[in-house]
Amino acid sequence: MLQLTPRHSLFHALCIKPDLRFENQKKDEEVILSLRAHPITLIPTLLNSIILFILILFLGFLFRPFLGIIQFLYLMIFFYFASFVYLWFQLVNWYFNVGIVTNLQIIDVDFSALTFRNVSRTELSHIEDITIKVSGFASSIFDFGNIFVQTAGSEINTEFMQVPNPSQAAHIIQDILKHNGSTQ
Amino acid sequence: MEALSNFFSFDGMFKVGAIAFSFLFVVLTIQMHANVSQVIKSVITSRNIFYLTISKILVAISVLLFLLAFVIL
Repeated sequence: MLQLTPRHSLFHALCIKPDLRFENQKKDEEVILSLRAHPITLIPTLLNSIILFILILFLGFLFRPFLGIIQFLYLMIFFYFASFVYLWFQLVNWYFNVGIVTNLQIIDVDFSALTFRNVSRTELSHIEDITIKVSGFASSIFDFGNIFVQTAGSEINTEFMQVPNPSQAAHIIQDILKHNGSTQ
Repeated sequence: MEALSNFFSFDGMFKVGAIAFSFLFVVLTIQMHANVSQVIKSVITSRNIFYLTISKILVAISVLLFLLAFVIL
C-alpha cells in the first residue's frame, strides 16, 4: 500500500487519505485522494451575495414609502432568504463536486443542486495519460488548475476542474498508478 | 366586480406576486433537498448531516414564507 500521511488543506479542497466513503465501495478499496475546486473560486459568488445584500437593503428603503409595514418586512425577508439560497446552492455545488481517487479507480461526482447528478468511474488500469492545465492570472497566483485524466478507448475522460495544487495531486495519482503496475 | 378590483389593486397584485414567487422557492428548495439527499448516498462524509440539515431548514423557511404570503399579506 502507498505510504501517505493523512492531510487536509484549503477547506477540504485537497485531502490526502480523507475520512470519506462512497457508494459501492469495495472492502479492499481505500480512498487516497479527494479533490474539490479551490475555495478561491467561491470568491465571485461571495462578492455577488454581498452586492445583493446591499442592493436589497438599498431598494427596500427606496420602495419603503409605497409599501405597508407588513409588505415591507415580507419583501425584505423574502429577498434576503433568496440571496442566502443562492449562496447556499453555490456552496452545495462546490462541496459535492468532488473527485475521488482510490487504489482501484477514479470517481468524478458532478453535482448541481437543481438540475443533475452524475457519477462517473474509471478504473486505474484504463488510464493512459494525466495532463495538468494551469492557465490565467488567478490560477498562477493561488496555484490551482485542471487535471485531465485520459482513458483508453471509448471510456469517458475524467476532469477535475480548478483543483488546488494540481501538480501534487497529479503526482499522487501517478504514484498510485506506478504502485498498482499500470501502464503509466 | 369588487373581488376583481381587489385583485387588480396594488395589495392584491403584491399578494399574488408573493404567492407565486414563494411557491417557486418552495419548488427550488425541495428540488435542492432531493438532490442533496441523493448525493450524500454517493459521497459519504462526516459533514453530510450539516448539508442535509441546512437544506431541510431552507425547505421549511420557504414553505413558511409561502404560507405567510396567504395569511398576512
